Amino acid sequence: MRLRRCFVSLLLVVAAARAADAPAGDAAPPDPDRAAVESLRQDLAASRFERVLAGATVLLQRTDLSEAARVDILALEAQAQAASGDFDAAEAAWATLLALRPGFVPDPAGTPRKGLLRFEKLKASKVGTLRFQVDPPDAKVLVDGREAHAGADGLLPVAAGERAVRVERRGYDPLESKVQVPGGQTVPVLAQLVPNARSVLVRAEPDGVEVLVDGNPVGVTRRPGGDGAPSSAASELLVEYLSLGEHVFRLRKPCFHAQSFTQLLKVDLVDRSPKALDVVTLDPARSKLVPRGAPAGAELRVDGGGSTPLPADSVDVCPGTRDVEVRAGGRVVRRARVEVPEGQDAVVDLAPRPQVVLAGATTWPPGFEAWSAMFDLAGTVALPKTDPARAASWEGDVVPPGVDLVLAVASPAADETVPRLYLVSPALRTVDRVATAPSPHAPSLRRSASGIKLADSRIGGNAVVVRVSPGSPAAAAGLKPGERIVAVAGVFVHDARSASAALAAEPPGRPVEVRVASRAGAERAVPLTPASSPWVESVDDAAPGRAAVASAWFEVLAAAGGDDAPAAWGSLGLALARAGRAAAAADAWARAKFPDRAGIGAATAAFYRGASLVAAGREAEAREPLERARASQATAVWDDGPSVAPAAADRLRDLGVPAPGVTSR
Amino acid sequence: MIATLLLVSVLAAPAAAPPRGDAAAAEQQYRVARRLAAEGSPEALAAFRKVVELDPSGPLAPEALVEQAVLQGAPGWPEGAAAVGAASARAAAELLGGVAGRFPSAPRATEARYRGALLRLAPLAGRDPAKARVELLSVATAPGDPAFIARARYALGWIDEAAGEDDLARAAYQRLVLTRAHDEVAIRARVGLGRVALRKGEFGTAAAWLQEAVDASAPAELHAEDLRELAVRGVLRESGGSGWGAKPEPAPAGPLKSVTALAALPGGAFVAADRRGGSVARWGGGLSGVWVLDGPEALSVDDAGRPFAGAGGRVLRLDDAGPATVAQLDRFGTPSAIAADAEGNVFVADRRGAKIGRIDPQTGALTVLRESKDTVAALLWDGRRILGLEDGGGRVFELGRDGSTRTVAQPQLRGASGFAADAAGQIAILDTKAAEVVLLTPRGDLLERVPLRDRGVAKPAAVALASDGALVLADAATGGLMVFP
Repeated sequence: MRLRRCFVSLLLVVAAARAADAPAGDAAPPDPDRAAVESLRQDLAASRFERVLAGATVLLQRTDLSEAARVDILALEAQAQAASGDFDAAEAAWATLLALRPGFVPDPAGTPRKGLLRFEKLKASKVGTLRFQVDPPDAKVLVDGREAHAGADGLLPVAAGERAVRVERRGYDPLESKVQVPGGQTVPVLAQLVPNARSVLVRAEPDGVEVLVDGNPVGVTRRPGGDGAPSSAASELLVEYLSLGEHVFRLRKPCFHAQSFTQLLKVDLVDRSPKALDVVTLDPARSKLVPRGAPAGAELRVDGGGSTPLPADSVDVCPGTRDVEVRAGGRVVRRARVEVPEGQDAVVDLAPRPQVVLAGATTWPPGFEAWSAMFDLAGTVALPKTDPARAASWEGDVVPPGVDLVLAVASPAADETVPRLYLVSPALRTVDRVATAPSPHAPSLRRSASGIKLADSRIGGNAVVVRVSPGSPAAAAGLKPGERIVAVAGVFVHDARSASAALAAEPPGRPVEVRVASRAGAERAVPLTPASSPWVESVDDAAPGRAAVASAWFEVLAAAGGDDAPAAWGSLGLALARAGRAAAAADAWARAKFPDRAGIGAATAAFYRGASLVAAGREAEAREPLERARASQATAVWDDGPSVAPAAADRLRDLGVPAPGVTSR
Repeated sequence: MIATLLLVSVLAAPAAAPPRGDAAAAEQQYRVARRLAAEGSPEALAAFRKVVELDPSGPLAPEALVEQAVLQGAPGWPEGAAAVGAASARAAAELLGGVAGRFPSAPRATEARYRGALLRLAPLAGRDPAKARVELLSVATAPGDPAFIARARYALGWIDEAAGEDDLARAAYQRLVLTRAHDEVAIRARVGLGRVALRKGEFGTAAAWLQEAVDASAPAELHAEDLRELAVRGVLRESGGSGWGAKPEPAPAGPLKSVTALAALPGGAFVAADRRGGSVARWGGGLSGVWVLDGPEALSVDDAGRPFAGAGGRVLRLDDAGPATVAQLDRFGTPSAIAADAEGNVFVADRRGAKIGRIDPQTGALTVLRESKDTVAALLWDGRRILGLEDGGGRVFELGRDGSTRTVAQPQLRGASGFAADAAGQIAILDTKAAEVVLLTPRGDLLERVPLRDRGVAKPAAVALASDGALVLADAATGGLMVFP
């Protein structure tokens, strides 16, 4: 007896060591049932059979015990019973266990031989076998509603008695049957399922065609083998288990004409492979985008794709909604969403516009609706965490690069009813609170210049020609000092101001009839062709936000390049100087690349650059541009503006540079 | 040893704390004073004084000091410096000096220094344009109120212009036009550019600048419209025509029976003297003053528009309050010609015109500068220099400080008797024997000759050039005035 106990203990130690060596598997959350089972297992390994049996009795009375735990506890209980020599009790436990797990086999290492014999006898009476032969072989088998997995030989032990068997698979009608399984016997089950659906292989050219079946998207075709596949192979999409009957297929892809067709699907018991459809080839669909007003030298991008250098007569694009970007000067100067009709040209105005972001809002606030027609909404940003009325609050990366203006919508104060609106100029680093929307219109950077000065006089009459610049359009037209201008383009002018305005309003390069009168009263008509002059705009309007809006225009027009860019840079320089940003103003004027000419030209930029450098405390750098301006015939503002030479001389005088003489205007 | 200890003791003593005032009361008083000033009340000055008394070191003290100085007449622009009286100038200078000294960081310190510098331009004893220039340069180049920095630059241009430094003045003015294009200072600078161009004979340029100034609503005190008219006359002359209308228009001579001397005032006004009637009248759009004098012989108007007269052996300044004696000319007797310059000097010729003297503006003493057998018919300040006109042939000469002369023109007239200058420095000489007027450039070149007799001026007796350049003549035949517009 002692020897026998020692033997049993040894068996249990071996079994416990095997259990301990078993892979732990994935780390699972602590399971109280599992912990209880392990505790029993340890007791069993330590030959504390009474503790095993007592613990198992308590645990098996629980109704919330998981089936897996119940099976393990029954196995341990049976093993403890057998080890204790109580084979009847062990047999009772095995009987319960086989009802749950017909394929259960006690651990031969931990079970005495006699116990194993008793178990085999019991199993022969309690368990039968089903031998499955299923078509298709991968069909799912359920016994008594629970999924069961037969072995490779098709055998599946089950509890003896009547079993409900179901065989099912997607795309097939299921089979169900009641089977009587005698204990210890094998019962064959034959199941051949009948298909009720068909898979379809859709093939298309080109790659990436979206497939819709009966209006529902089911996927996108891809070339077999992936990106490296030969281009000759059509792209494919396997559409599985379509119900039998008629289906409408629609194949579509952006930039291609969509195609639709109907397909009837039938059962083929012999060939169950997917039905391969004929290759459908979609024809490309292209339209033309005709850009207007975009700056030369810029590049056009459609939907973030490759760039097209501008100017271009047209760009081939896919029909539909297209997102267009014009980039120049290293930034976006225009963005637009364009509806491109199929087969038609879409003419789109791509003249540069300020890029505006909204802060604290996602749509233009009331009163700012007109801005949408003049500015590009480049996105939204969050309001700064600190006071939005302070310029410092907008520093850092609050405003993305390439943004010309921020319209911030802040909550009203306690005693206010409407939101507070701020215009933030990233360039000027200013914040203006506005009650209404400033005019969004672009400042003019070009004027008609005639080279004529007029004055009103009691003795000479009104609009007397008092000065004609040599080589100017007025000189070419033969206007002479002392004559009076009576009418411009057939419209009577009553004084110098109206006459000057009328001349400036005439488009450059086109002759206009100017009617002049001598002092004696003799009238004559002369054709005058105004020249086109750059105009450096000085925004001195005290209206809140006006300078910010104007500077936004200057920035984008400067970046866009082209003929107006020097004037835009210059105008931006003036605005920066007024905002106290002298160094930035000097940089802006350095980028104002006017040609070297009389009138507004390179020396104009030199003068303002020099003045800005002085204001920035960089006097040594200022001397050279100011000396250049002093020696020039350049003018300010426009070709008919005042000379910069005297003012340059005055600034040089401040720097201690003697003036050799100044040039009259 | 004791003395040393005492000295150390004094040095170590804490600085006297500024008197503590009642800031709240000062603020309330300041509001009252501002309201009184806005209403033009004579109580405003005392009200501002009380602000300082209530809180002598408070933030409103410098404000109140500057306001007092303004009320005392401290000029805001250099053109206004000539109108300041001596007592007012002293008081204003003291107030402004107090701001600059005690409150150098006050918001209006720049303004105080600027206005203080302008006071040095007043034609009074102690006038010192050089020092004003230094102070204005200091204001213009130091950090401070940008508006008054710009004004300082304008004033520097104005000083250069007055000194005949036309290129420097033009540079200063044009700088303001470019950098402060829409401010009042740029409007004034445009007028200044117009004046400079007129002086240089660039009439078209002058007209263009002045038209811009008029379009920008230049202050009336600058007479931009008149100057523009003058500039256009120059353009018309350059284009081959006359600068005057062909037919003169009669103008009322006010209460005077016979005009014997004539001088133009800014803004189209005139002063005229009736020697026999013993009076001087001022009018322009209406009679605005009559002074009863003892046989007024000669008239002059200084840069500030103040008329001077020689009468009864004296030189008188004809103030609105009445004639003020500038100098008693015992040996000279009643001067036959007078001219007042920008510095307050009055130049006089004796009864015969043989001697020319200068009356010192501070002492009133007369110094004889020149005595010659070539007698002078008239003296004239043309804005830059004292000119003399010799009887008969009409030699025009520039009078030096030492009494030397430099011939400007020798027009070979028959009976030169009087002359006048306009803002462009052009000189109109009346030849009574030939009954004609000749117009010369500032350098003496003939510009235009106007015969008078066949145009309805039978017996011209005196000549003036109106501020807009119109030719004004006294006609002894009718006792009235004739104006060639």
